[in-house]
Amino acid sequence: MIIETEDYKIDCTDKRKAVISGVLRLQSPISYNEAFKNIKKHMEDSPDSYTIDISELIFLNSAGITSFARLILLARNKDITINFIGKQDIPWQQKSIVSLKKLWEKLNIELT
Amino acid sequence: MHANIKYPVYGSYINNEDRNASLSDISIDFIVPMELITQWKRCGLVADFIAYYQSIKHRNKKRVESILSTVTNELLENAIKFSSDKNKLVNLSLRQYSSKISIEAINICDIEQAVELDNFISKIVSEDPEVLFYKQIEYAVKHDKASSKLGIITLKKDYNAQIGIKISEKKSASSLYDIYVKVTLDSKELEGE
Repeated sequence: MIIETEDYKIDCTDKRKAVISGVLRLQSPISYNEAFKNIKKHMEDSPDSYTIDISELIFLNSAGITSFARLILLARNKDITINFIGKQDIPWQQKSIVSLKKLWEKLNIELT
Repeated sequence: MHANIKYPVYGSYINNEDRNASLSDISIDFIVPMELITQWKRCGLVADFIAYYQSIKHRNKKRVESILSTVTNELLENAIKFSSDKNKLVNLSLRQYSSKISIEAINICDIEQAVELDNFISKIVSEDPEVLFYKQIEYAVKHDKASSKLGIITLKKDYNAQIGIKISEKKSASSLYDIYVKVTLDSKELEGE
């Protein structure tokens, strides 16, 4: 399952891992519900862990950060581990994604 | 000023610090039609342009461009979401001083939006940005809201930005307000030094 627009791509082919790339600046958290529906479904089906690869996600706006927080809280509610894989040299990842760490103790963030 | 507005001036607007700065070597003003609410992508395009325009004079171009685009986009999205009339204009400007850069968005809102912004100011005055961030995250997730002002809190918390907000009643129309939101970034922080 792949959602692809001229701005971003969300690849959920692997049921345990989503790869999000491009620029995600949707209008509101509600707009993200549709874009993240496959991620949410796979997380709900996941027995123990789920991974989101954002290494090629260049920009994410604050509505997107809220939507990532929603996924992290879903993981917390299901008591599963959620892993974010990103890049150290993308400033918003280094600054904002790391600040979500406190939402869930089983949130792992790996920036390379 | 309307009786419900407790904080007509907040943060960097209080001392008007930029007016005292010794160097002002770039100023770009954009007028963005509010109708772009239906063409949301234009927020990002304008933000990217301003960021690229400014970044070429910095050492760490890629980092500066990325941060300026993020900051400008949040300001612009905020201005558009909190405008009363979608046919009005948003004014966006970037100014560079000797050791800092400020980006300012100006838009027009109604009294309900002005009071909402005023309530937000009362929160950032009294609460630690990190505590407020988690509160707003929980609120936004619970209510599916776009108007959590998370963007402004994020800029303050993650980018060490100085925030200034000014709510000014329009003389020509008493039920409308000019809203000024300014984000000031330290050049060293911007360069990652």
